[in-house]
Amino acid sequence: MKRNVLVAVLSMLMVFNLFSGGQKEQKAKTKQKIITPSSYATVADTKGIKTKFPQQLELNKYEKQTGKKLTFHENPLFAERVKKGELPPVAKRLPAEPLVVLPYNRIGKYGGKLRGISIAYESGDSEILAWRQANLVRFSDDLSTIVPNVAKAWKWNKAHTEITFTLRKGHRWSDGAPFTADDIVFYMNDIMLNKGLFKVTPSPWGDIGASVEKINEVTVKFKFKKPYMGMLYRLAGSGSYFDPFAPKHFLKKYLPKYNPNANAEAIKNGFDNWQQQFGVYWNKWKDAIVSSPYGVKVPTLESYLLLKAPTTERRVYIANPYYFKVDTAGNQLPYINYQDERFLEKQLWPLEIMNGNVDEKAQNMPLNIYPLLKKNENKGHYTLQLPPGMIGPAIIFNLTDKDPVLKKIFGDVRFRYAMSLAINRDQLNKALFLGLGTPEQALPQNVPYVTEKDKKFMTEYNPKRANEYLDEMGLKKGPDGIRLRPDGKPLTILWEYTLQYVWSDQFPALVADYWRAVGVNVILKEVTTQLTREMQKSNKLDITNEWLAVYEPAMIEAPQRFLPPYAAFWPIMGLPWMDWKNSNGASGEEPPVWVKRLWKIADEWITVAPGSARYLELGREVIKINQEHLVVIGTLGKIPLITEVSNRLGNTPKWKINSSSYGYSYPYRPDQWYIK
Amino acid sequence: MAKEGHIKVDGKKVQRIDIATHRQLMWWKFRKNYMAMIAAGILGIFLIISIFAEFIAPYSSGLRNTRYLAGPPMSVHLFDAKGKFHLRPFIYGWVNKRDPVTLALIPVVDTSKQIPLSIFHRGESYKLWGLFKSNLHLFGVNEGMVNIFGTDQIGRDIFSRIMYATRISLSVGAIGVFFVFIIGLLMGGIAGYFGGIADELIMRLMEFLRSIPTLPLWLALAAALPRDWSALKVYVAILLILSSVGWTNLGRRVRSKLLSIREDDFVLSARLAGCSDARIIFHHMLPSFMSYIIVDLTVSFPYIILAETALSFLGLGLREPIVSWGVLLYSAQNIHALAEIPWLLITGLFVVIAVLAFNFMGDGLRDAADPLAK
Repeated sequence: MKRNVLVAVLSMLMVFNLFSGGQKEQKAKTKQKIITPSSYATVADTKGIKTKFPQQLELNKYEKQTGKKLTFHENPLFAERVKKGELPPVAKRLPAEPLVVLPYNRIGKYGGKLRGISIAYESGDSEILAWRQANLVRFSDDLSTIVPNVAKAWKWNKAHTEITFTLRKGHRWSDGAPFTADDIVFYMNDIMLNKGLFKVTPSPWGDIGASVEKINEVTVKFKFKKPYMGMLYRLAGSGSYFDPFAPKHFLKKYLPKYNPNANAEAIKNGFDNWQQQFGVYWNKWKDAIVSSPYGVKVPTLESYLLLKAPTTERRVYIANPYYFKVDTAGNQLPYINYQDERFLEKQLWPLEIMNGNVDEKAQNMPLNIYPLLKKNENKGHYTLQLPPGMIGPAIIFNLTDKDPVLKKIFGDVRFRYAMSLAINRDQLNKALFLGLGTPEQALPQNVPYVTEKDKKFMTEYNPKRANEYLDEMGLKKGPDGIRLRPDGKPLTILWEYTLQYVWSDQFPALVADYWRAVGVNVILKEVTTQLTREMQKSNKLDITNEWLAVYEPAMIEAPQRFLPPYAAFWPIMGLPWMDWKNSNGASGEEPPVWVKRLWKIADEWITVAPGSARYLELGREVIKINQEHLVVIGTLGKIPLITEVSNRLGNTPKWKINSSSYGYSYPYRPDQWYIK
Repeated sequence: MAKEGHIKVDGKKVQRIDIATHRQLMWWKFRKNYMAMIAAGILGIFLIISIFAEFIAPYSSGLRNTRYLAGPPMSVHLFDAKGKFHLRPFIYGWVNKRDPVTLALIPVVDTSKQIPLSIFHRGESYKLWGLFKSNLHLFGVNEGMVNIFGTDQIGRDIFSRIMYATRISLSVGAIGVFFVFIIGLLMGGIAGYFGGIADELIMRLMEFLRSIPTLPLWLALAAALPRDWSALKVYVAILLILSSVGWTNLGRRVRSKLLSIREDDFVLSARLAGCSDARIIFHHMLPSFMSYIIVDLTVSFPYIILAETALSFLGLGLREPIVSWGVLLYSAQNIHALAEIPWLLITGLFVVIAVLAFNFMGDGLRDAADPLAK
């Protein structure tokens, strides 16, 4: 609350500045130094270099084509430490087989600081956290080709029950320790399958009965009890937040298996038990580690590491001296020395961007600030892009509401149909989404099994039909136009919303207006995301909106957002059903048949090959069931995500899609961006 | 005061001031204070707005002009584009279009289209004070909508919303002050008249309440309201919260006054005449310093209004669909709104004017309460 006051005062003060035009116009630094002779291959000019995977190739293939041995160069940032002997020279830090990447436009320049913003360190709106990832494989910027990354190569067996990864010889963690097949085996056997840490083996490994076998130092084999076609999609897509490896040399001292005193030491260090101590150095959700001071110590393979403990104001990262990629001139990536992520209230973001203080920002940007940002493009020295990536806010009624009367009403599909038909999506689009959206249901994006007809299902504005549905249900209108519940009370829904998921106060205000027009009263209340998540976890909400657009890789990985609990991380709806499932029917509530069918489909889903006939069949069924029951009521589709890119940033491409399904800007290779 | 002149009473020439009642003296003194008079006039207008909000506002607070979103105020003209005078004021046709580059909505004025304003317009029907059905509005147009203060992001008429908000905010002030008055008189009266342990307890309670920083206290109390309360319930609860912390000033004033006149002769004679305690307090003691209390209350009006505005501005007070000044300002607190829709801030002007008016009037009343002071 105190923060709110501060923000209000600050924005008031700053707006004067805005009107008076008092800001010094930043001089556009249009002068561009030619850093190196353009004799090296780039994406813009490949110099005849042929690559198997887009925009990158292995060192030996590259040297073979150029006919020259590549000499490596390092960031001057590390020169001092190399001279003092604290760091080995760059050739010793790189793997014996570094990955050679083609920069987009030119060989970059070392140095500088990339300035980012986010609300808070664990807020989930920090693309810096998304793009620093380094998983075994990743998506190329065409968003469909899976390309080598930490792993040099992979090979499936025919049945898709075994996949063998080849790692890079001489690859090192950010503390200089070797990264080998042991780190993957350690991850699986000592963390995932460790009953002391997880009673139920986390998804997806538990569901498919995964195990890992070390072939040699650089070769490792994953084995599954049933085919797991989604494996690579998971690693490359949103699963990039969950590396399947962990620094064994660093973590083993916290595990009783390797250190009999682990528990006693943990207690001595002020933790309750060894699990708790281990938890601050390793978390399934990687972002948790870099949100605490302990994260500074944890070695990583990523492009950047924490420079110091994050504070409530900022988190600063420094380039990883052991990062495994080089450009075509042999320069070790990343080019930019530091990433400085400041934590700011969302209302202040536009100001910071307009004043030219942010180098890249997209995640969680509300669309309605676009006109303001666009007008200040020149002044703030940035360029805006509008790649797709979002859909309009979705509305999910709690079919397992705690109030038995509401549960019955929400559970009636006619009610959900009526609520969908009562929404005037064209008006919403024009008023709140700059007219950029299209009325659509909430469906997976860019998948082959969704038709135009699915998208338009129940999206027309038809209050007459909506009223008919509600009348049919026996919800009679009272004297004030508000319908009465079967128990005689007025039908009132409490909608506690968070701006993160409804984008603006006006969205719930308008929708509530539409619903009141068909006799459903709504009480609106703005709360924090943290609070809605707590309430979701205890099944206390009538309506939730925590739902995002899902693109194909995330769907292939698991159709989680289309079956109870309709969520990837925090349960959204259907908690008692989940209880029933997890307890094998001992507690909770038995779900309806269609829910059980969805769960069943999900089990089969991960075993079928993407694009196969069965895949399309199952995909269709998921969509059909969801459409029939309209659990997630969508509003608008095809909404772009404002992507702001500073003009001083070099080697940035045109964003094709900017979505969490691809780790936001991760496919656009921030490790080869540089500051002009 | 000599200016008031002389009149004849029983054939004798006397100065009017010598025979004027206290009330007359106060009025004479008050009307000499021009600022206070102007303030009183403004508050009179606010009062009329509050009472007849439905009539003065051309639309209800939720009606949306879907063709004119985030539109700037429409100006009312008497002269058309050719300079021709029209007796009947008119507005031009306003719509907004989207700028192809910035995607912002920009207003487009069609000067060829003149829409005359009609006074006592028959428009949207309403129920005045929830009782009398009518559709008469002070003004309106036959075609489209007139938004003289512009519209908000979803096309609601800001002028109409401010009219309704004025009613709510002033009624929060009025009802809040009423509660303050009751609690303050009661607690102060008990403390001052009975003294002893009652006085001790009430005084300590007052000191305790006054020692709590007000903003965090409101926040805590407002946050404690059950989450599923309707806007109306919240409204009443906010009133009680504001007055339950706001009575201490008045309570203290009443107590000290009572203490000082408790031993006066007229109180003693009342007691000797066998009056009950309540009668002595309410019929003899309170009227003797009523003017001070009225001044106090006038001054606490803006305090309560500002408190409500602040709470609602922080999103903890009133909520849609009830609109108060604070609720309206709440939507104007982000940079995007301020830069693109600055007319949302017109509400702020109303708050400032109301608070100033109450203060000036309170000032005038304070002087007038002691009419013989020079």
